[in-house]
Amino acid sequence: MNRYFLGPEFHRQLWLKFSLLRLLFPPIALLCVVYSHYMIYNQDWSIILAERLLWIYMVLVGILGNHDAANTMRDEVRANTWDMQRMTPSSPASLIFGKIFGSTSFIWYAALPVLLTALALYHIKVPEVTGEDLLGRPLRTHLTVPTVQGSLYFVFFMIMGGVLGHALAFLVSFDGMVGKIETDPRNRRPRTVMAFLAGLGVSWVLIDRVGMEMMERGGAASAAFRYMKTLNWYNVEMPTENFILVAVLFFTFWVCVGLHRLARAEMMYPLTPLFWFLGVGSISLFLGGLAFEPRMATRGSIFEDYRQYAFPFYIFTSTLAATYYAMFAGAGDLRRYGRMWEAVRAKNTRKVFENLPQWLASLLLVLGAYLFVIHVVLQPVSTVGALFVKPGMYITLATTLVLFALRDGLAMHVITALSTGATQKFERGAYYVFMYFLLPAMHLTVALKGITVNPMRFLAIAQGQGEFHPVMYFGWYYPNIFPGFVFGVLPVLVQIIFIGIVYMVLRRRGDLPPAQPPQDKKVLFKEKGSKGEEVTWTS
Amino acid sequence: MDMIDVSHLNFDYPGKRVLHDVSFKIARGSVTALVGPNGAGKTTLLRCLVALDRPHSGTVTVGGVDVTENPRAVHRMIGYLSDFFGLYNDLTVRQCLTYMCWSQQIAEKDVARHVEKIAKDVMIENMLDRKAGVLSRGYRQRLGIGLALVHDPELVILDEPASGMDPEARIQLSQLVRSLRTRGKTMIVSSHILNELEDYCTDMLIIRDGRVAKHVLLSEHAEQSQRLLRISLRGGAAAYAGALSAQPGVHVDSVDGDVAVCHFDGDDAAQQALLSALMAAGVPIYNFSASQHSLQDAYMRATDMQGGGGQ
Repeated sequence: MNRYFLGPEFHRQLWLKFSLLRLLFPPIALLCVVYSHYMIYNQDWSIILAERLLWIYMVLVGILGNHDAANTMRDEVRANTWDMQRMTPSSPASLIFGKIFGSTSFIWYAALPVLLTALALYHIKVPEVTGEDLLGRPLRTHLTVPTVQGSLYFVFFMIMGGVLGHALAFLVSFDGMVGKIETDPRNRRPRTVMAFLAGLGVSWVLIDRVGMEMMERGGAASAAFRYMKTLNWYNVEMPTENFILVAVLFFTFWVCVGLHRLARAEMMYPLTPLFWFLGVGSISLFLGGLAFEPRMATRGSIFEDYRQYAFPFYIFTSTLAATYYAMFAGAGDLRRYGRMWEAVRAKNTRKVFENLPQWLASLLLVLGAYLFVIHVVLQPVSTVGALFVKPGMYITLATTLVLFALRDGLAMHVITALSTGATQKFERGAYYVFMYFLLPAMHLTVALKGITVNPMRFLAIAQGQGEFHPVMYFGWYYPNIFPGFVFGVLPVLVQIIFIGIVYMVLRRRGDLPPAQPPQDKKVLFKEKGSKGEEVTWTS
Repeated sequence: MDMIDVSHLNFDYPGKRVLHDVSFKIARGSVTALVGPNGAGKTTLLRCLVALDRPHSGTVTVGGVDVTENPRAVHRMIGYLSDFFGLYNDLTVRQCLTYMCWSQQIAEKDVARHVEKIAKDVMIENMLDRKAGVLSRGYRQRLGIGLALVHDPELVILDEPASGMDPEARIQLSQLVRSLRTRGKTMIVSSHILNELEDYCTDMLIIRDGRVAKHVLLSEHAEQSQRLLRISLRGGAAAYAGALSAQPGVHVDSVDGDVAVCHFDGDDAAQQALLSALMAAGVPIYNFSASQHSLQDAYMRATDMQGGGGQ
């Protein structure tokens, strides 16, 4: 027992996950399933069994695997062993690898033979069969035997459906814990339900919608994408399965980078938000390429010219979404700002960057994308669509989106600063319900009473024509293109100032005692020193 | 050089400062008792020392390494047993120790031998093939300490190591700490049980309301502090209170029946002279005992004089 296998953490998980019974059960169960299908069904037993095995694979990898991956960190924190691991010299990569693949090792042990058996069954040439089975259903046959290339794609998508799903589940779970500050570290809880659902979503798409669909439709790599055989990405036309393959590798890479950064943060390595900046930038550029796909943007209409808007808006909205999340998550620990301020005062640039919040880093990308949006929408448009759509509408939309995101980010920070911690989650939820549902509902109920809305008049106001319309109140509560720039931007600016005032007032009232400055030293008692001198003990 | 140097350390939990301008030094080879009331900030201070939490400001160096600059190097120097440490309950003691040896990058060929050695050091060699989950509290604590000692750290920090232990286990823990002390380890032991700390500690660091209330070097404290005399006098102590008070360095603290409790400033020779003087004066002494102030006294004095009283 002197040597570990694939890292200490992986080996520890093997100890936990395997026993003699567990080693024997999956192959025996698989043999029983194969044998029973062979005996029960006639000529088409192989196709029936192959389909069912793929569903067993989905249950094992998609459901049980993601469950295990999402709960690994929770188990570690519950057992109070995480701090011990954090202090060992294990590398972050070894810990993460061990936790993801170790926690799912038994699942893979059971699932891979299932997958390979299914693949082998799809290669059995079934003779043309006709007639019905005992229940009156028509007998089935393979459309074609999969090609070698198709089989490779199939195996890739099926396995990556598990790997990427599990890694994402672990990432979401881990991310819920990192940065959470509790006076009792045992209260740091990773998020498990959302993590499981995120992992399951990815696994379901790759395993069911891609891998299984491929095999059910003849085994060609492109069979799963029969309505979209090719895809245009930055004007490069490529087979859809190739794009999905590249996308899987691309996102797996960034999920791994994210996991590695989180593990480094937990293991107290100094970090800067550089990788967050690069990750958000590259993912938004990757997604921006989809704006070139004609089926994903307006085409063949009077709005043809507006296709050029899609690219900057894809970039803008994806960077803004990432920044919004970072503001939401970053509001959980305001101490970073204090440390950053201390570093600024000490003129320690490296420390300033180490404590720079992620949202501030990606906000630079948002502002860049915002300027890009403005630049593009100000380009002249020749089609008749220009009669209906004005550049100002897009500028208003982009501006209010940024301001609403900043408003919510500020509110989250203020709630963290003013609340006691135990009720913080509720207060955050209450803020969203109040600001996006209750307040607009109350106001609009009064303001719009008896109003008959004329859509054309409404549109005219958005274009800067016509008179004030009560529907413009919408702009007070939601990012909006209709009220025009001033009426779109002004209310949210007022709200930002209002939240600032609320913070100042509540803070002054003493709801939040400010960090106490060190008190003057107080004399505790005096006594004689070892050399007879008088020693004064102070606090 | 000092093993630990903490300077102007501040630490916040959201909306609350829990460590205020904490500064102290701990010498190499010392065993420091970290004491203070519940909620004083002891565990937070220890978590800052072992680089598991980042302070708001101030510096902490361990073995000359800045904790905030190079926390990973500090981790390698420290063996830390948290007050709510956990074990891998489904693994055997041997597997737990083996895993920790692997994680601490002990050479492959030495792992088995090292596991046996650590098990022997912490007196769990008979439990190696039991699952950690079935161990009693005392054995779990020993295994926890064993895991913290696997990499032979220079600095050992134990947070409430004796909590939940039975008397026998406490005695064994005390023996273990003493043996670590003789091996030159610098140690910090946080505990509420002052009598036990007294057995092996060289320093006492009192934390109160997130501040250092007092840092006592116990050897100096013993030299400097007053002795407590219990003098039993035939015929009732009250009649001789005046005669006792008239002696140099004696302050009568209380009188109860035959027994007078006095504070006495002086060393062994002065104590012998006092006894002779009382006998010569015809004071009817039938019992005379002296004790130095305990760790508990020192703690109570420090906390009482802050105005809050001890807890």
